[in-house]
This record gives sequence, C-alpha cells and structure tokens, in this order.
Amino acid sequence: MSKKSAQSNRERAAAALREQQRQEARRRNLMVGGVVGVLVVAVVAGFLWMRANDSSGDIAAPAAGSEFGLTIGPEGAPREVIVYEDFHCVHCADLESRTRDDLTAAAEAGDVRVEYRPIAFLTQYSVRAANAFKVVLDESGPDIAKTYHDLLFENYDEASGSEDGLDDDTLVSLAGEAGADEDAVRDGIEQVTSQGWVDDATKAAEDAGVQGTPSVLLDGEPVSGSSEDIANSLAKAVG
Amino acid sequence: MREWLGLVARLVTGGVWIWAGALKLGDSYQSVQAVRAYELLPESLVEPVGYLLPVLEVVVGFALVVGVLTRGAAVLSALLFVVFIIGIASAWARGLQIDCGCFGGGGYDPGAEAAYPWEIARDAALLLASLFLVRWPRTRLSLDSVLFRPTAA
Repeated sequence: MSKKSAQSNRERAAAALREQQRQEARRRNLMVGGVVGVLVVAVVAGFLWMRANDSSGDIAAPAAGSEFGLTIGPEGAPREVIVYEDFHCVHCADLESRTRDDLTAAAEAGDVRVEYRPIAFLTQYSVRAANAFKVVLDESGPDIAKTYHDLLFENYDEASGSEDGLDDDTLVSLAGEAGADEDAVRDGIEQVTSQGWVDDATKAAEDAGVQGTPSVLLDGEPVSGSSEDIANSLAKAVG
Repeated sequence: MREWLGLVARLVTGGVWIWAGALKLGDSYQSVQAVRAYELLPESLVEPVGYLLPVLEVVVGFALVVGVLTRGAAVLSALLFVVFIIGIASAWARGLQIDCGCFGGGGYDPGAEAAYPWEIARDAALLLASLFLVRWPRTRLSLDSVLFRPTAA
C-alpha cells in the first residue's frame, strides 16, 4: 500500500468520525428539544387548567336584605354592594379602613345600599366576634351594631396578635363604647349565644360560592383584586 | 458514590416538589390567595403566578424524579427555592403572619412567626440538594442516561 493511500484512509476515517459526532450532536439536540417541548406543553396545559378551575368569579349571593347582614343605605339605591368579611381577617380590616368613609357617605346620600355580612372563616375569634356583632345587633339595633362593627375592625391590630383575638371583656366594653347596654349584651357575648347564626351565615356564604374574605360584590358581580383594588373599584362606582 | 447521592437528591427534591405542587393543583383560588398574601407582586401578576407555580412545581418534580434534563430541572428548582426563601424571609421581616402556602393553604396564620425559620431551613436544605445536581447532574437510574447514551463508541 502506498504512503499516499494510507494517508487518504486516515483522512476518510477522520471524516467518518466527524460525521458520526455531528449526527450524535444532532440526535442529542433533537432529543433535548423534544423533551423540553413536552414539558413546556405540560406546563402551559396545567396553567390553562388552573385558570379554568378558578371558581372565585362565581358567587351567587342573595341580594342585600338577607338575614345574615347589616344594611346601610336606602332600598332601591342605584348601586348595591355586599361585603363578606371576617373580623379576624387582615385584608378585611384593611378594606374597611379604605372604604368606610366613602360607603357611609354614599349610603347617606342614597347612592348605594351596602350590606355587611360577617362570617367566620378563620379562627375561633372570627366566631366570637361575629357572635358579639349579632348579639349587639339584636339587643341594640342596626345603628349601634354598625358602630360596633366599625370598632371591631378598628381594633383589628390588637386582635391580630393571637388566635384568641380580643377577650370577652374587651368585646363587651367596645359594645358599650358603640352605645349598647353592656349588661344586656355581656351574657350573649360570653356564652356565644348566637353561634348558630354565625354558623348559618358562614354556611350560606359557602353555599353561595364565597371562598375567602373579603369577598365583595358590586351589583351582584364579584369585585376581584387586592383590598386596595377593591376599594378603588368601589370608590369609582359610588363616588 | 456521587451518582448515588445524586439519585437521592433527585428523589427527595423532586418528591417534595410533586407533593407540594399536587396539593395546590386542586384549588386555584387558594393558590392565588397564597401568592396574594405575600403582598409582593402587583395584582396583575398575582393570578398568573398563582396558576403557574403549582404546575411548575409538579413538572420540575417529575423531571427530577425520573431524571430527565436533570441539570435544567435542578437549575429551575434552585431558582424556585431562592424565590421562596426570599418571599418567606421578606414576609417575616415585614411582620406578616401568613402561612407560607408551601403545601397548599396560605393566607393569614396566627402561628406563622414560629414556622418561618423552619420553612427557610427546609428550603435552604433543598436548595443545596438542587445545587448539588446542577454541579453533578450525572446520576444513577436516570432517564437522561438512557436517552443520551452514546449510540456508538
């Protein structure tokens, strides 16, 4: 065999090796691309599935004037707002402080009817506070109950420290501050006599599709977003 | 030896991801609420992220458990842990009392303060396992070793 043909054999072998390596890399890239593609499709499909299953937009709540709420503003007002709230919920307290003045003024002007529906989604304090609210509502009427409701949220920071929230004495003295007769409401607050009402109200809210607090409906439509977004939407609607 | 350690890291980290993600898959609303509770993202991003995270967790977990694209999955896994550690630390620093929402749940939790250090420690340990796989992605019993075996010497 001549020197020349040995050299060309080596070159051919080297070329074949390079070709094989090229095909190897090609196969590898196709494989990686294919697997990445499958995983991306899985993520996109899962994302769409999660979005389709978000039922927070479906709340079929009864209109204002239900047995589980406190209503301000005249019947037949042009706008209606329903607020599901929990006295132990930080965003409810936040929403309250952002919306109270606007909603109260608009209700007094006859522009909106607002129903506050306290429910107990979070802790035992949620139940005790909603119970205390109901006791005051029954004993002292809606005006004092509204003031009490406001005071409970104003004292949220103190209640937020523990699962126990505000103690019974504080619940009673706040009722007194709101204008209720402390002796008349003390038993009901200490014995949690309206727990059945709280349970029913919470059950009714769940049945209506409420999944968390605060849940706000404007003219029957759920208002989505953070408490700041909700407050802005309400301000725009009733302002 | 290192390849067996890698297998353990894959199974533990991937298993945790699948478990954490699967618990959230059934409840889109709660997942969104858990993200919202951190008060870190603008509202327009809260929903997409709430929908995406559980799915991403399950897919990354699946890739790690079967050992496919191990390095890429481990990089994503490590990034997610970094994000979660930052989220939890920032909630802790701002005095928020929220359930981390790591395994479903989320939102207000009065006992949160006591849980934060453990959650961060757990995520840091899993972050290290992920980084191990980024550095040494070749592991035992992986799909990668089947898919990407050289066809000829």
